[in-house]
Amino acid sequence: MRIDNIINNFIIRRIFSSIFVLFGLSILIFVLARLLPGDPARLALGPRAPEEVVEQYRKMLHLDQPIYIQYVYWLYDVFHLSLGQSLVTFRDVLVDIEDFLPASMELVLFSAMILVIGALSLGVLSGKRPGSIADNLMRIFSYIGISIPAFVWAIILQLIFSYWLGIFPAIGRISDNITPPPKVTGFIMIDSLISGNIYAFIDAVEHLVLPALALAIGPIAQEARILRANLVETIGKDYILNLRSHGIPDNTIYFKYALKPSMIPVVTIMGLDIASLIANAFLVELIFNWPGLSRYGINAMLRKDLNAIVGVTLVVGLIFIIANLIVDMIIYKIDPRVRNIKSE
Amino acid sequence: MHNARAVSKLVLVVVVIVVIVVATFAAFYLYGPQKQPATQQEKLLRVSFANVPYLDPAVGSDEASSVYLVNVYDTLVYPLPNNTLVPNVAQNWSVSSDGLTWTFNLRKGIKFHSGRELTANDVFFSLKRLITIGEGYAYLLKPFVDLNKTSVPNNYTIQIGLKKPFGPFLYALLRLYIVDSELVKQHIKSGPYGEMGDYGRDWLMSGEKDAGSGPYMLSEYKRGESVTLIRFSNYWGQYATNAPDRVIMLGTTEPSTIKTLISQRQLEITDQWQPIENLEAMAKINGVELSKLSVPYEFYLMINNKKPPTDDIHVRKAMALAFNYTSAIQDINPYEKRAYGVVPSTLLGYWQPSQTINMNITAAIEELRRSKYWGHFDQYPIEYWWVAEVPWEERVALLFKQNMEAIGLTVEVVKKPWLSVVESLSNLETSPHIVSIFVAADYPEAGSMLANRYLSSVQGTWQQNEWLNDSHIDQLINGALSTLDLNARIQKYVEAQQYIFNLYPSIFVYEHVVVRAYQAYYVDFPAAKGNVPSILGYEFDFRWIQVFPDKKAQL
Repeated sequence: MRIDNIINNFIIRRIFSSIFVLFGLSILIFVLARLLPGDPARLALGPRAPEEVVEQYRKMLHLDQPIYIQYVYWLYDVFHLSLGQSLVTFRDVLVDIEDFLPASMELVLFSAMILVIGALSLGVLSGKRPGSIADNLMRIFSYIGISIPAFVWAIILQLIFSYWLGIFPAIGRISDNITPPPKVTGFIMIDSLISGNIYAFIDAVEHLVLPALALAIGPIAQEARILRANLVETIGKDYILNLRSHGIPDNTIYFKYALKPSMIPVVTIMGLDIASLIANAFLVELIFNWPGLSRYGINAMLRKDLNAIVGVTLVVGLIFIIANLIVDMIIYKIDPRVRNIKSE
Repeated sequence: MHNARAVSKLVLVVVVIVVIVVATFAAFYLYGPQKQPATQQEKLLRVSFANVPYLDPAVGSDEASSVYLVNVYDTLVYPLPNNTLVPNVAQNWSVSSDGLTWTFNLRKGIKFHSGRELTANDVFFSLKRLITIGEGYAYLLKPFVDLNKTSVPNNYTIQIGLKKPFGPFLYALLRLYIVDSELVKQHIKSGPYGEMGDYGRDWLMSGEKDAGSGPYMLSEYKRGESVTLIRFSNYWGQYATNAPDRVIMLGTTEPSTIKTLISQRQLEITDQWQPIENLEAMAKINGVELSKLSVPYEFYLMINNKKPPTDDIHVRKAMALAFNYTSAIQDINPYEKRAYGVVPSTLLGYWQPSQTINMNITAAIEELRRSKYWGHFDQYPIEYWWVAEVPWEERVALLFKQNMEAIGLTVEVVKKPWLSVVESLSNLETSPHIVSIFVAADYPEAGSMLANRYLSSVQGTWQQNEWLNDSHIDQLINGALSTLDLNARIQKYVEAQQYIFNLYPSIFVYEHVVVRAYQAYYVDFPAAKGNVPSILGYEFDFRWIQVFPDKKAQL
């Protein structure tokens, strides 16, 4: 009961502080976006739009006002559930985010699943028998995985599995010959299950495999390596020796007493890695023609789409905050030292 | 005991994972999309573009949007491959002797995709909507059309009043896409256009439906991904025998992706932005060929005519004579064509200079000697900007630098992001000596490029770094544009080009050749034979592209 209260207070405190973080972030990005070169209204309407139309557009976007007034207008919109008009899509940025975020989230969550399974299994496999063939192979994989960026993995995977073998589709979220399920969550996998469309579900999974894997390989390599190092270090500790001297079987020591403490730093890094996937997936989304938020965000920056830049940054910021919160809660659960500090 | 339990748990986990994986693969095999009844004979055409089109005819003007609009909407007139205009929605037309009133008689019985008949009221509504919103292609009509003098005498006649005569007016009408006014009005939301609210813009952009009467209709819009069109069964016009039933416009240009799609026969025609290496690799794939189409775009080294030392005509002429045009093509862009004149040679009214400018270092040095800056060039380094987003431009910049150093000019090459270029070119003080930029003509007459490039009114935009500010040029170009008689107009275009050419305002480097890879074995692509009008979007009038699924099956 007491622990629940502590967790609740902790969450409330974090949510409260997050509001200030997002508020500060919005001011920072709002100002920075406006310092980029180029007239956003002219860029939006094209080089040949008549000047009076561009001027009218500037007024409509309040770009003729000082920055702080523009910010007040923006804040007013936010309180009316709008993030302002995108200068590229000419729609409310919130509507755009509603459209593009599910595609990215679906990709990131699928990637996260691969990441968790891959990193934990490879980390355990190599940490359990240091110096073994499996460990050495894992080391080679880690070096390659960490040093090659996600977009190169994307190209390699596409080349092998789409270009040469033709097993997986090269682009998009669903094939042209499959009718997409009605939008409920925006996650095609889930929506196809809701609508009972097994073809669409399988097709959506096929489309997810390569981009998700491309995003996951780097973090898998990194986190498996960290887990392995932690496991090796933990196994050498006195309390493990003590357990062994009491005749407790190796597997029990390994999985019950060594793995848990070794996972704490991995969970922290994994949480941040998963959160950063959404912002860093731009090139992977580009290569697989994935209509996600990361691609939308980069296009917004290239086209000086002021409101979209702020909107996407806030969403990414929010995702980081949520990821941190989840990581803290998991650590709270698995690390008794943290629980004890909080209780004290 | 503990050990045995842990091992059995592990075994259980492994077994479950294996079962899941096997079941998934079995499901893929048994129920996968490839097992669905395939429509082998469907004539499907897939084309990639730099972006997914804007779906509102009053908003889009980029390549993808132009292609979409050409196929989904009808226009009053239509261009033939030789760029002459023929009746389309308008059966015939006439113009008043003062050139200020154009009367169009419309074809009866044309149906919108909604089933409604197209009338003159729809044409008027579309014109008013385009001009009021002022975006997209409005810039072609807005300066000329007088809405107050435009009227609809009856359901099948529209009289369009102009503020001043405009010779190429019919070409400008190629960008007046006729929308179903009743359908658009039904979807108006609140907005900045008075009683017309947002003029139905949100609805059209949403991709829910289109409001056109063209040969293809919108079937599906995947935002940020693709647009799918299907044939309109009640279209009044003609199609080629094997015109596609379904067309997918993909918004991707990523080279590895495009190559994969072409190799898997999942893409019929690529975009024009593929690197040379990728094009050459695709051309080696069985059944794939390259289509090369000259288009009215010219790559200029725009020289600032007001900044020392390039304000001196002898310096400009020396630079033009010192530049290695052959190397610029052979070593940098082998698919491009050499540009010789002020406007691209594909435009009606093009004038080719009697003497071609070729690299001649001796003559270039001779010109420099005549310059007032001779002996002081070390005090006047020349700043050359290339657009950071177009990497090959750096090679042109370095070639230019090398060539100019051979005649004693110092060149500082600067990589500039496009947005900075646009911003800096708005002011004479912040403009560089030289910037390299491609400019496109809007319609296939020399007047279009002349107006886009050399009028005083385009100073301060990215289309003119020359800062000519020459009233005589304005007079020549405007005089030509207001001439109704084609031959007389062409004569005036020639005069304008001669005058501009003799000022040596720019270095004319490339005429653009659009290169695409396409599935030549099973696709008949008229653009590959050069058999299309030189107007953006019309090379992809999907009606005239033919797809042969039986041939595809043989590959």
